[in-house]
This record gives sequence, structure tokens and C-alpha cells, in this order.
Amino acid sequence: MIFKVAKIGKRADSSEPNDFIFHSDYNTFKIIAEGTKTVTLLASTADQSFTQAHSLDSFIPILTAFAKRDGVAQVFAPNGVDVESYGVRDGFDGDIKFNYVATNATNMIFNFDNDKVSTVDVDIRYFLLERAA
Amino acid sequence: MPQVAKIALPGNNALTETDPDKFALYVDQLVDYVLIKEKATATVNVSPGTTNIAHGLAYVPFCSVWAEESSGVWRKLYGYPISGSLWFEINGTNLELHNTSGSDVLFSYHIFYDNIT
Repeated sequence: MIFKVAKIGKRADSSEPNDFIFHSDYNTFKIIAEGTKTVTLLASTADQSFTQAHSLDSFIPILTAFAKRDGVAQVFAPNGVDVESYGVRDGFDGDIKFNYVATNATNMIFNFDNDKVSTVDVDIRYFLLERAA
Repeated sequence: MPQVAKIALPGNNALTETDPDKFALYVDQLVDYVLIKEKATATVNVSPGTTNIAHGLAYVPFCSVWAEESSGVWRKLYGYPISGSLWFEINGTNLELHNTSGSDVLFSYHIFYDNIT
């Protein structure tokens, strides 16, 4: 038995997967777990890794995460910088870098650079999404 | 009449709850919470250079790619890196897995039906 819900204006007997909100023939990606973690970045230090157990014993999960620095509105993703605006004419500066996320059989790993001369608190929100490997 | 199918997480009432985070399944034609649909997933060994994975779709699909950066440690990959030697690109024909590390690396990928263009 197939269970499916087409988008508004699309036919339920369509063979085009993009016409559906949900279709039971296709695996829909699931959030296995989510949570938050606050870390304090050391001053003027690159390549800082923070770990947290993911508690998923049977597989290495896909991890995606977003970070937000205290006092800055923007949320930034891995492979990106925290951008502070100094005005249109003065350009932008990003001195906190969220370098990458990784997982192994036990832990989630969050890696940052901090170019500031002071420590910085960063709030992380993470999502574990099924099996990476 | 719009079609709705909802399964609430334990402890929540599917008839009254409105927060999609409280549902295992939340399908509602009136709101655009389209569930991404997986087409293919695999783990492949990528030798130095580029390995193409034909996705068989007539458009550029959403995907997610990881690589084993060291034994048992898997890092989420992005586009061409500022530094580093592993990345991916995707076009209307192939998922391109790039490895300039000089040695073989395991890549894991998920390709979805969902069109990103």
C-alpha cells in the first residue's frame, strides 16, 4: 500500500517525486536527536574542537549544526564565519569561524577559530540526522 | 479540502498541537513543510581526482556528503574549500566527489529527489 499526499495543484497519481509533500515510497530524512551546547572559545586560538557524546550506539550519525555568538544576531553554519557589520562603507568582519562538524562512533565534534583577543561564548544547536556511514 | 496526515510524538495531541517539532510526521497541504525524499545513499572509495556519481535526475537535486577524514571520524563536506582537499559539487547529471589529498578517501553521500534549482 502506498500512502502519499500531493502538493496543492498536483495530481496524486503523478510519477514526479517533487510533486509530493509526502510519499511512502521514499525515505523521508528524520531528525534522530537534537540539542544545544554552549562552548567558550579560547582567545586568539585557531582549530579548537569541542566534543559531546551523541549516545547513538548502532551507527555514526549525520550531524548538522548552527552556532550563535553572544551579542550577535546572526546564526552561522559550519564552513562559515560569524559576521559583524561595521556599516556598508566599512565592510564586514568575521573573526569567529565555525570550521566544521564531524562525528565518530561516540562523539559529535564542533571546531572553531577565534581571532578575538578575548574568550567568546558560542551557543550551538545541533541535529543528528540518520546514518552518515 | 486540503489533505492532512499527522502523527504526534508521544505526549502530544495531534488534533490540537500546532508545533511541527512535536510530530513524527506532519503533512499538511496548506503549509509548505515538504519532507525531503531520499533517492540514493552509498559509501564509496574515492581515489585522488574526481569520482562522478550519476544521479539519474533531470535537475540538480539536494544532497549531503561526508568524508572519513581519519579512521572512524566523518566530516560534513561543502563546496570548494578555502583550505582542505575534499569537497563536492553537484550538477544536473552528476554528484562530483573531489579528492586532492593524494590518497584514497571514503565518501558517504545522500542524494534526494528534491530539486534545488
